[in-house]
Amino acid sequence: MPIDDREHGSEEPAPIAHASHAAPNEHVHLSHRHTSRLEAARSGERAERRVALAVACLGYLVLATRNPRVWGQGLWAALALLAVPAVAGVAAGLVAEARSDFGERLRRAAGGVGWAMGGYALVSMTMVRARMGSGTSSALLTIPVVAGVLAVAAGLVGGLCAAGVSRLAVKE
Amino acid sequence: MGLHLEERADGSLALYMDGDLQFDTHDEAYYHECLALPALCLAEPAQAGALTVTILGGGDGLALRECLRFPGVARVTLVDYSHEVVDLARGRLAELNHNAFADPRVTVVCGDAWDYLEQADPCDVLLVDLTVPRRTDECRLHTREGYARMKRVLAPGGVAAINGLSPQRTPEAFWCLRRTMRAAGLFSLPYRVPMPSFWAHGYGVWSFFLAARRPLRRRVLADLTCPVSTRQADFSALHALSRFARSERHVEALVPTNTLAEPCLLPLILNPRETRPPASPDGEDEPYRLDGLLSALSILHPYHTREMVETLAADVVGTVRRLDLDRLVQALLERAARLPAELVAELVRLREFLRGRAEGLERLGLWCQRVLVILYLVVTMANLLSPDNVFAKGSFGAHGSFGHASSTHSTSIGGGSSTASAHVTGRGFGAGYGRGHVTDIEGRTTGARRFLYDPDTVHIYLGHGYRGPRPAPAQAEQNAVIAAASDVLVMDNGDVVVTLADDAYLVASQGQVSLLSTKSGTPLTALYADPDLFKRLGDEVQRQRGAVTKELELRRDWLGWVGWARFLPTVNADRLEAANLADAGQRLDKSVQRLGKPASSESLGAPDPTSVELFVGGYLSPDGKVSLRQPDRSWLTTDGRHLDRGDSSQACPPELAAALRSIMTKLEKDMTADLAATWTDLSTLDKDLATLKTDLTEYQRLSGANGPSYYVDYGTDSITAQDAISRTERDITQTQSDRDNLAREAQRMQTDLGHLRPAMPRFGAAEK
Repeated sequence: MPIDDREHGSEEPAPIAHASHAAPNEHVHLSHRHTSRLEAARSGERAERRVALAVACLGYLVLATRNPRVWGQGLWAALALLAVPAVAGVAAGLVAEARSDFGERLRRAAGGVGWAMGGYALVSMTMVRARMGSGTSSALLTIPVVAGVLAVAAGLVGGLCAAGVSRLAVKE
Repeated sequence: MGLHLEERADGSLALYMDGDLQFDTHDEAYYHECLALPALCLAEPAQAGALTVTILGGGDGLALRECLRFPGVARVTLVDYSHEVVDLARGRLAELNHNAFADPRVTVVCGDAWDYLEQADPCDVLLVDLTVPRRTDECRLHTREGYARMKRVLAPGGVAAINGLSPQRTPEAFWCLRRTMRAAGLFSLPYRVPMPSFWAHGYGVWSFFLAARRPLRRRVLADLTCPVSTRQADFSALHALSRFARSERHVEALVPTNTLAEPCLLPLILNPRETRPPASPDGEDEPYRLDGLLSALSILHPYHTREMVETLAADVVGTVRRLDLDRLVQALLERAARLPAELVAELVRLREFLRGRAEGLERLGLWCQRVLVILYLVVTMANLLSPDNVFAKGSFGAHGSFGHASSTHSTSIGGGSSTASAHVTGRGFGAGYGRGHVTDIEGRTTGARRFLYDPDTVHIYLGHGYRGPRPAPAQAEQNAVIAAASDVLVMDNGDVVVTLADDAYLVASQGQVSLLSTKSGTPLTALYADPDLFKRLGDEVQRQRGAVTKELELRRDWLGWVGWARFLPTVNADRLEAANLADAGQRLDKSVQRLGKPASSESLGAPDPTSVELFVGGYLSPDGKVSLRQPDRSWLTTDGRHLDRGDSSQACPPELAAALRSIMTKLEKDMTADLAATWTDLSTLDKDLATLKTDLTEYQRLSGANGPSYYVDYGTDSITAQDAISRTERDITQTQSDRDNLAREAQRMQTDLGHLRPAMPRFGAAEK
């Protein structure tokens, strides 16, 4: 006995349940588009952050050849907290994705510069403390706090520079 | 209530109530004859020839039919709660029950038997033909209270016949009924009723109970004489059917009594010991193989009769047969062809979902990874740069003795200078620095050290030939600030003090050195400024200055990083430590300046080669006199009583004698300890030497026996015997040389002690 379509439903099988009301094929295409856009955005974000990190690391590598005291406190502060982060931020801003907003650009560049400054400060301070021979236990709190503050400061400068450069580029 | 009358093709009938078989016309006569007739036979009517019967249940009229054909039955009351059953009995089943309801002796009460028993008149025969209880309220009549009501209704000579359960399938429930009847005060007599229809439905062998207010013995069934003929029942077998084995009867002791307060019958019915249905006894033709289907059913209720299951199976088979399989398969294939794309879409969605959820954890993991990598790099680099400091193994070098400059048995002055870098590990340069404590370069603190002397007049010569005024005793104490070595202290005024003993010390400053007593405010005597002593002192202070400078720079480097973070207590402590280190450096600088250089650059020796050096410029001669070299290179000698210089003599100041005594006491103590240690070392060397000689003998024996190329154990190595012999001989030579040197040293110390000990009493009694 043949199947009666009127009784057993249409010949077109029902689609698998979807969260959205879009047709299955349409959903697949949307997902692909979304995914590729997401990948592109993440790739841009990674590039921006990597440029900031690389330039900052280069700058801090030069600074690490001498101690802040030898550089002179004022000069070192100007270089470590202004010059290097600014250069790194500008470099990151130049490669930043134009569509990203101010906050995102700031955050990405600040992350790269901040990590570089944090690493530089952490390693340098630990080495100095180790040479002192007083033990690092008393500096367990000091080193992370100081490194963190310096990283935030440098990251903020770098992030602001990156965001500012990107904004200028967008206006032009 | 579900009532189902099954009418078969052969004209037989079967009645089901709620799925339970009530009767099957194939054997219903057997059932009802066994239920009604024994009780009717055994009842002793209150009025002869006028039996009164009450039937509880039995609405189908079949038990009623058996009662009405029994002689002497005057009145029958049938109590059934179901109108439907009674109506069915009056209609479709009237032929089967011989139209019993039309009999004038019959009274039908449609109502609850429980309520009826409460106010019923006594009867001679009580037939309880109720359905098997499937709900708790249906068990009410089978409680102790229910049986008590039946007992009350039953006449003294009356007999009740009660539809029981299967002692085979539900033995616990069956014996629970018996126990409950006994609890209600009824004497009961159970007997089996093997019903084929019941057996086929899986009910097992059925049973009835005879109950009475008087004792009922099994033999009454053996002697049972029924005045009416039976169609299927054979009462001659009734006695055998009432026999239960001891193991079966034993169950009655194990089950509880069913009461209204604590009902237990239904659980016992629904949870029988044996639940597996028996195999089909007669092998009747089955349209489908139902065993697999039945086993696949997770719950098989007694309501699910074989016919019901067959009907269900027939429906399923019919549905399957109506399917167009070709079209179905085609539709499934088309659906399957579309499935991969849909699956891909679903998986993509799942990936995005998981990414969104896992992003937080991913980020946390990334951070942890970064922190761990940085920590690893920092520790590795720090370990490479300064392994001792990373693992807190640093130590400062030995502290030499400056006072006993040329004595070989004390630590050499030259050896006091350590090339190891000092690190401030203690807290001596912290808040407590300069507050009376003495701090060494490692930051360790000792107690306050104060010396009473006048820095301006400390080097005035008081011995023979001194022409100037005697300086007034010092009034102010000088405090030691830094311990440059174990016996070298840097004073707060920059002078360097070399402690010799408890009572004596040297003050070196401005290229001069003087001997002082801790008990006198005036100096004892000036001494020849030995250039070697000044060089060693200057070198040590300079080394200390260098160490301080290095430590200070490290702290400044550190403060260059963290100096701005004054809100942290540790940073403030570091700043204070740096300031104190700077102060210590200034003091050491000042000390170097005040130390100056001696006028002469010539180092002078002892007056006699056999003399014992007490300190720099002070010697003990074998004759027991102490010679002190004066700044003008002349000797000032004293035996403790007289102080001689050239041809002049005067009484020895008691402070000088006491100071020398103190120095000798300390020296004697140190030498004694050194000598004991030397003897111990000598003993060890002797043992080593003996062991080496034994080893050499063994190697030589092995070499002679096996040849020089024979491999022998040499420590943890395996080398040739020839090599072992040469190495051992070399070790013996070296050990012997060491032993000889040590023995000479011990001999010299013994000689020195031989000079020292007799001389000591001349310089005063030892202080306790």
